[in-house]
Amino acid sequence: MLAYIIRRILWSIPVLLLLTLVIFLLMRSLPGGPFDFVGDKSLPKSVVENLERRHHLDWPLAWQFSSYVLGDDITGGICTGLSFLSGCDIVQSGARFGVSRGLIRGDLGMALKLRGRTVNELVAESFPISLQLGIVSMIIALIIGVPLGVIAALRQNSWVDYSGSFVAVLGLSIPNMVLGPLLIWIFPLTLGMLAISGWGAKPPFFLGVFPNVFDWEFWKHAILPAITLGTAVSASIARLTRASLLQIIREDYIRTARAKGLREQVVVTRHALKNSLIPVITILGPLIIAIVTGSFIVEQIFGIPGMGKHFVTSIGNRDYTVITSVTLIYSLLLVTGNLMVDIVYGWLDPRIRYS
Amino acid sequence: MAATGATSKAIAVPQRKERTPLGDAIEQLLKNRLAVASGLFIVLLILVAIFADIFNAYTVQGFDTTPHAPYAIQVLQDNNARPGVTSNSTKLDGFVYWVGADNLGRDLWSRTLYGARVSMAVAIVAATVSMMIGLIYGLVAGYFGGRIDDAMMRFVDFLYGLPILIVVILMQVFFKAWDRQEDTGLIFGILLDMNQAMGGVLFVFIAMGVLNWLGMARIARGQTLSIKQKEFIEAAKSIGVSTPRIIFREILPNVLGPCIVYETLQIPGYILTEAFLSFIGLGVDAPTPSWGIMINEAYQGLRSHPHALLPPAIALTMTVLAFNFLGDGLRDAFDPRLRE
Repeated sequence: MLAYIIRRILWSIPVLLLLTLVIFLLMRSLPGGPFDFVGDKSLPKSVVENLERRHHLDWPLAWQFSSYVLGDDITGGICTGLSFLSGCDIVQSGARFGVSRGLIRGDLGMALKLRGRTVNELVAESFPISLQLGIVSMIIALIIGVPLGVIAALRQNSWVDYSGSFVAVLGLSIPNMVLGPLLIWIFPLTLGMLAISGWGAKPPFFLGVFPNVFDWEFWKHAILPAITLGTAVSASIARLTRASLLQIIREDYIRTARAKGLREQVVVTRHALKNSLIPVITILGPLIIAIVTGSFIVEQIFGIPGMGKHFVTSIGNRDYTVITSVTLIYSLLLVTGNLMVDIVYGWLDPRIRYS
Repeated sequence: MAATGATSKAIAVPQRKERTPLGDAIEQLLKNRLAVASGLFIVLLILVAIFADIFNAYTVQGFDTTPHAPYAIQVLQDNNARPGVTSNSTKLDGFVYWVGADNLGRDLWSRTLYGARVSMAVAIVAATVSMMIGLIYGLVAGYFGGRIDDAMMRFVDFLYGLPILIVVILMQVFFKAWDRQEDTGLIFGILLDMNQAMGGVLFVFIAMGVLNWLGMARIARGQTLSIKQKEFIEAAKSIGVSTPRIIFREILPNVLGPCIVYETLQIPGYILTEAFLSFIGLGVDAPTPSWGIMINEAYQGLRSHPHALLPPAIALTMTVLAFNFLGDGLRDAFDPRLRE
């Protein structure tokens, strides 16, 4: 198991590195620059040149990449040592700006459009908010999804089962971008309940993540977006729970449990449900992806200052460093998420052996 | 094969029905009313998309809109017209906005119809492309096995690690940035022109086609691995049938069922991805209507004109719902283990 985990981690390093390279090259090779316009006006040429020099956009691409990953000082060092490499003259004139400490030291670079802000600051501000939103939606999804699946399975082929399954497909089919505006229209706009936009929790957060859950202000802003994000997820959880419980309830050990006179409630909760939730773990990976990518739209719709909103805004602004770095963080999240799901799955179900 | 069910019914003398797996599956599918209704809805939607020039509100109500496309007609006096309101403009005297107009005075009924074009095109093209690449890739990997299989599937595993939606977003960012440029290479220039002529859909196709074949490749490979052990493949080999012929004539028809089921279940994802891209401004180009763009526009004016949200929202949800029901029905029909 340990060997498997280590191998998986090692395997994800080249994936992430290649992804960094591709994203970086893709973003830097785009025509036009982030400084072409400020609002509707174009900047004077000399200002643009200065800004580009400051952010090393005048360097050859390979050196820009080196500066992004290794940092300016190391890149400058390489150039001093190997000054015959092409482009080194430009690098040496610019390295003393010292903008970047490099990914290897956890520096995600400067934001280009939001002048004077580092991507690290942006992420530190917005990531906890996105995480809170994700956690609340996951909890909502589990609270709705698991009982719905269990009830449908226990009353198989009854009207409860049929309507439950229908509702589940409906929940699966209604897109975030439809549900979000619909909820805004119904609750804040028509009924005057809950908040339209923004985020209620204010830092400092407990352990950097957890807000004060007794604060109504937090829930007022969190409920609608979390429902929007969680509906599709809860629908998939319900469907999977139902299917898996139906299979398990026909197993021999359930018959044994009933035969020895256990109450039905105990049979279901202790024997059947526990095992039927194992397959649900396997789809947690895709579900985390659904929540992360769903947050792009949901944070946009509800005006939540999370990472997804920054990502979408930076795409519009062509803020290359923010796009590159935030994409990297998302990729890292998804890769770790999948790995953790695999580990938990192996731990819960000892029959699974990774090789 | 497909017609066995129907022909045996047409024969007057009752006789034992000849049963084939495909016939069984179709029979099973036809029993599922939701799936049949969904299938009909999808066919209707495709027809509506094709004949949007006839069914749009202007043509139906007898207004000639040339030279403008019906989805691009702006009547500023009629902006945000409510459902059922008659046009204030003298040119469109007596024209009724069945489901209202948007903030630029464009008829929502017509725009929603034309929006179906984009969604259906994406659904069909993305599914076809992913199916073609994935099937061939999986068939080849599975059939040849050994080192070839290892190498090919390692590559798939590697790509699987990439977050698909983010890659699609980045590609669209890339394409959109080039789109505004004068100076492009010849081949890329031709692509850009084609994309412009198609209202920006071409690049959505390309971006979505790049990674979406991975799952299909895995399914096709798995199926091929089990089929190629069967006796009839050995028989085909022994009488000297060529390898491509074995792959495409013997194995392909047998792996097609599960692959079609898988692909149908992927289609809602394609439609939603296009809507998502259009929603954040990375999809089709204005004024081409896409449900994603329309929902975004309606969302901006939600406070004062919520009625603009309903047509695209209902259309998108119904379409995704129909594909989900059809996909579920197909899966149940093709997988005998799920039958009760």
